[in-house]
Amino acid sequence: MTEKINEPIAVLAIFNRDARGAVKVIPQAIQWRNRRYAIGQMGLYHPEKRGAKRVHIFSFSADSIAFRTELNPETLEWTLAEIFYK
Amino acid sequence: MNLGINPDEAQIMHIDLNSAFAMTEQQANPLLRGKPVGITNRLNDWSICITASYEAKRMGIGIGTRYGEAKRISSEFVMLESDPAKYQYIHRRLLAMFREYSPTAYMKSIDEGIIDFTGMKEILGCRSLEDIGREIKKRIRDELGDWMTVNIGIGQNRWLAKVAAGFMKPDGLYVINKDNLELVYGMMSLTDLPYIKARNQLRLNMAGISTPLEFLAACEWTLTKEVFQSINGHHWYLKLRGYETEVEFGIRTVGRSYVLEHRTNDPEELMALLYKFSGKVARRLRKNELGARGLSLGLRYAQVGNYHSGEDSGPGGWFLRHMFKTPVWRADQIFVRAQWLFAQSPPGMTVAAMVLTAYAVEPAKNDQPYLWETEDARLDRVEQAMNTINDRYGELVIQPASVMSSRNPMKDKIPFGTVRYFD
Repeated sequence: MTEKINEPIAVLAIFNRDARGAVKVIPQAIQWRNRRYAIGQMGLYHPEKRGAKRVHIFSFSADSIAFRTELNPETLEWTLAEIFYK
Repeated sequence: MNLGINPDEAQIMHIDLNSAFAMTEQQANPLLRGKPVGITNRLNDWSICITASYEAKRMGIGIGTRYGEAKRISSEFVMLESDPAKYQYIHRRLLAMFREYSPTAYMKSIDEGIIDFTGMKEILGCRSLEDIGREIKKRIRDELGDWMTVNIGIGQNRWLAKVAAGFMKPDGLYVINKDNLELVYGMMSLTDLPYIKARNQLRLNMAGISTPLEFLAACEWTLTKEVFQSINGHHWYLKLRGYETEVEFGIRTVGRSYVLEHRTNDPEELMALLYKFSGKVARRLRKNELGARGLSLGLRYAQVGNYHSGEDSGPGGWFLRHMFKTPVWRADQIFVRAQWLFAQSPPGMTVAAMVLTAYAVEPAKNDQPYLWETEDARLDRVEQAMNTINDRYGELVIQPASVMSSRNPMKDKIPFGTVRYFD
């Protein structure tokens, strides 16, 4: 079941370059509602255009929850957009 | 014409993503991997699967299965609303990757790519195409995600490459060349061949052709005069032997279709929707600097019955097209023509789906500066200003007041079959 959240969260992430020189952002853990989740399995990164703005979306799972998080490149704020659980 | 099998080396690679949208969702959400997943354009009680994961397909859930029915088949089934941004990103990444191997690489649809390796042998260090195919598979897993798999087919023409890609599904890699072409045909049925569905199968059967090998053995006269009764017969004769028949055309039509979230027979709501359609079509025309003389409107009704209007629209539908004298490209101009078409449809019907298509497209001739202020010039500027605002702040941020009350949001969904409108 998918649930919309849209709450600010804290994310621990590695910013690095891959072998081809492209910047890679790899979330490691998140903190949401006073609980920390270590990222178990990375899902997908994709950007999404919202007008002229581009938001970076990272999907991954931790414990038995799948998270969809957004990084706003202008403010560098992370948002938990939605979660999925069984 | 009596032609043998093309003796040339297979140089065309066809790459298609396995159950593309469902697989992308499984990549994004690891909890869905290995589970039956379906994708729909609008999630509601009547939702119909537009694509399904392999796991769902194995259970008999596929294109056209209703949400409720799929749930009855498997309680584990998950239906998700399509997320075009994800699929467009995958599409763009694939295209960029394919172009590293050949400048003649393009995406045929949102989930199918073609790489033409003609003339690339020396540049690619004389590597075999199977080797390159294996590398592409690995790169897709490494760069896009470990759940992403593709079928790769290699052939002498685009059609045979597609046949090869479908031969070893899922996650296959297969080459069809002059040596194994007949063996491959021998293992397939007519409807296994791309573009041969029930109607073409019937045509072939009526000419005594019931297998791909008999199709291959048929003479050109039989295919052109008896089976297809058109130039298509000649194309099939060439295609089956590995000769190229597919030619890339530029944009020929610009259209938009939409299944209404709120079915309606309210004239005001239908006019608002028609204006939204006109706006979408106008925006796509303008992006490609095109105008169009022809316009067609198709309506699908909620009521069951036959509502034809001059052209074959199938049961429960209505369709009309008209070629106008002058090309147009602005929303208000297209809307006037769409209204004219709509006025000829049966009144009072509840509309479930609409499709508006501009055809007979040509380069827009609106680049001449206006000497005096005209109404046309003013409206052109208004539309351009609206487009600029929507480009910056998002689709439909600004829209005419007449459509604001519409209950049907008409968000962009998966553009099946075409990738011409991607940014």
